[in-house]
Amino acid sequence: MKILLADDDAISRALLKRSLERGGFEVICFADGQAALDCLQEDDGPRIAILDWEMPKKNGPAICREIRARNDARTIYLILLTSREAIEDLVSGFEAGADDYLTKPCNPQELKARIQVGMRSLELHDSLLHTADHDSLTGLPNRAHFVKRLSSNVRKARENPDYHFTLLFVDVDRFKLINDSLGHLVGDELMKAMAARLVRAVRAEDTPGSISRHSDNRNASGDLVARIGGDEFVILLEEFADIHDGVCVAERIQEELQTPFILNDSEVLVTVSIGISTSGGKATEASEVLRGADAAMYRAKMLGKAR
Amino acid sequence: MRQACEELNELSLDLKELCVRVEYDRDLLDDVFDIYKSEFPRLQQSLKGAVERGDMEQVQVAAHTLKGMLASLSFRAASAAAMRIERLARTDEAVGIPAELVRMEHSARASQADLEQFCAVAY
Repeated sequence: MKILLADDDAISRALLKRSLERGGFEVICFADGQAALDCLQEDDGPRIAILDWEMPKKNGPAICREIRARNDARTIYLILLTSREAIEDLVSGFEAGADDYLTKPCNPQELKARIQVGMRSLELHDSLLHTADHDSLTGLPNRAHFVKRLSSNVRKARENPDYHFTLLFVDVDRFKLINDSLGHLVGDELMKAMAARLVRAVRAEDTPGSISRHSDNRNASGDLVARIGGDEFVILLEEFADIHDGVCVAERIQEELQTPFILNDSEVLVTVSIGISTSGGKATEASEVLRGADAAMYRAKMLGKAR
Repeated sequence: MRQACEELNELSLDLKELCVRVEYDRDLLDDVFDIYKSEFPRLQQSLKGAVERGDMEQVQVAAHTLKGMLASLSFRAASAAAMRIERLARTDEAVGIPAELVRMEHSARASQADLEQFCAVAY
């Protein structure tokens, strides 16, 4: 794990760096506050930072305030370094957004123990975030996660007319019948298996005759498959210029479903209806795009399902 | 090094604390001592210059940095003197600063000599 260490005192920096390296951490050192802040703001920047209180260019509490003012999900655990006689300033450090503090000069054992606390806190935070954003049955992103991502795509498309995305709305045909005849537990198993097949269909980059982005060697890992309701799945294909790309993915999904599911020791053939909507329309909100795909899916159902 | 540390703990610096801080790593002790020997004279001059100019803001900054550096090496008496200089500068009591400056320099010299001696015998 990477740890950022910002301290203008070269001796303190050398001592802390060596202690942390002995603990198995990769340490990135800075002698001024602004350089430390720039590094923390990078997408893959360190998630634990030890910041001296007084530093040239920007002090520790100011860095804490700027990091906490950001509106993104990446949490950084911030530890302020302070001298023993400045202990009364700690309240303002916590108010600035620090998670913990260490008094200088630091005891190496205390330093390592505090880092462990920080790691536990980050793990817990990440786990809560994952739970809030994912469907517990299939492990796929849930509606909240999906809407966030779709909104960001709608915004991008609004700001840049050359940016396009495609949305597929997938609904399992006669799911109620399966649930009623085979039971809810089997229905749950079907949802899990369906999720896996959808993910496979979207990621099937080597499929012969597949969509244009694959022949361009573009990576499909940016695509999102989410479960937004009982038997409703959505697939967001980012940077897709053409509705035919969406049709190709829909065809691959239908191909995946040619193989029956094994449910309760029986083979069950399941079909889905798919609606496709693209960013080319006049929709300015995520909900409108989603409604468009939903309506297209219902048209497919009306036309006889499995399409 | 651990044994030498036990034997020499009556010196003007807190060797026991310093040895724990460097985790009994002789190379690290040498590294930080080298940093001290190259940084201290520069910071000392900066502090003296600020005292002569009566620039209390700069006195505060330089004394604060010196306090941290001296404390990291467990030069306790010298660090305490630097802390008093920082406080005096903060409250604009320039008159007490020269005496504390002399105390800080004297203590730092003594601690440096003790640490040199320790490093010469601790393998």
